Amino acid sequence: MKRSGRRKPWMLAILVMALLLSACGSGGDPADSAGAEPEKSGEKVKLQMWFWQGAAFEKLFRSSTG
Amino acid sequence: MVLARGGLRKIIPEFNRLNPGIEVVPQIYKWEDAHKKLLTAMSAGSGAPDIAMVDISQLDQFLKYPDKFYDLNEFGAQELAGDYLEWKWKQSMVGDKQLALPTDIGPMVLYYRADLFEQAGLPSEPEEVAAQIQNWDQFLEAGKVLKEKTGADILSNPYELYGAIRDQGDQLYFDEEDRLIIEENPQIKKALSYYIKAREMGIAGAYDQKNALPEYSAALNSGKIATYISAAWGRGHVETRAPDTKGKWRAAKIPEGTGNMGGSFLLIPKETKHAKEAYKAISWLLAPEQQLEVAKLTGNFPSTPSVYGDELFTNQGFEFWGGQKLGVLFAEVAKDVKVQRKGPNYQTVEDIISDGMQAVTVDKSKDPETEFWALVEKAKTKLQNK
Repeated sequence: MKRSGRRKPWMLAILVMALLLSACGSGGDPADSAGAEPEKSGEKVKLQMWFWQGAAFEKLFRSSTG
Repeated sequence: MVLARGGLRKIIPEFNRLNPGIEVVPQIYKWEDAHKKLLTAMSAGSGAPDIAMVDISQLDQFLKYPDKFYDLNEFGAQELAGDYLEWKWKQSMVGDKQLALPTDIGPMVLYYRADLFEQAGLPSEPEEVAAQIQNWDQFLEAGKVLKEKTGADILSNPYELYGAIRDQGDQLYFDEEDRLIIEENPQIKKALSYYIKAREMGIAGAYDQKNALPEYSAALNSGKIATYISAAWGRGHVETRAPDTKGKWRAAKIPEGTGNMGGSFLLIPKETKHAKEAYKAISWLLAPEQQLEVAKLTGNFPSTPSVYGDELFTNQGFEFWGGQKLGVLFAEVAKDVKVQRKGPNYQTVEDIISDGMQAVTVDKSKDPETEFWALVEKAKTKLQNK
């Protein structure tokens, strides 16, 4: 059987889906992605802000600002 | 009310609402992890966030890389200086550069069980306590009376007293050139001598606040411990850990001057592609109005004295504390805190000493003086191998 040499619509759909998934990222460890081009949602600038909390307060010797 | 939890994060949605073009996305880490991750990112030159929160005890290890963070004066931060306590503002300066904006502070006070003090025939009202226990010798004497009359320890651990006296000094463990000065710092020697006195007098417990919190909490809740020397945020600790003692606690000025325990800063790493927006966010989040809002929501004490006149600090009584207006006391002592430099290796040394001295507190056969200086040697070795 001869290949047509042209992508079928369903192949394009898969390609677009893969690109979209890749752009969304994993939502995992921010350190893995920070420093790269900042995420944008439309014209919105997303700022990643790291907080600390919790454990230190439980240990009493430090405040818990976050 | 649970204090000191989730402070700034609670007002981020409001910033995002007011600034539709910007979205601050908080990422929460444990205290240790947050600082380690940031340090790793700084060293690697990649992976830093747009905005980072750093605790005061860790701040100097980041400030030693001033080129890795924005000088906030580039955005006009110098115009905000008057909004903040001078000592807190200066803590994040390197030369003329302003590398961070201050969050809350932790002015230190003496929390005490008024009922146990009264039972022992000691002064029990805050003004009387401050007037009659003006120095640490008087504090130890009160501890002796308290132990005899009530059986309670005046301290959870003699190291708590060591820490309070250490933090009252002009210097801590390092000088301006990062030289370890423990052996020549008279305040550290004084702190150690009072650790030893409290231990020998048998008026301090051996509760491990760092690693055995349930046991410590149970002792606090059952009246075995009569004081807690801590920061403004520490009241939440007492309320959470000792709920059965509601109404029995008060707070007074600590003998021989206050100190500061805790509080953080927000920095903007140079890696960000949106420094201007990041500055807009932190300058809004830490402005006096927002610090007041966070204080109302969580109890974190503001670093912006213009809000100390708010009713929250002048007129609000706290039921757990017998109706005492704690804000008045916190605001008063906040202005007396000295600027101290911790240095980038402060926590390394402090972890070695505090863990080592905890073992000494528990094991009465150990000589604290010998052990303390051995720990200092251990710290020196660790610093040399760093």
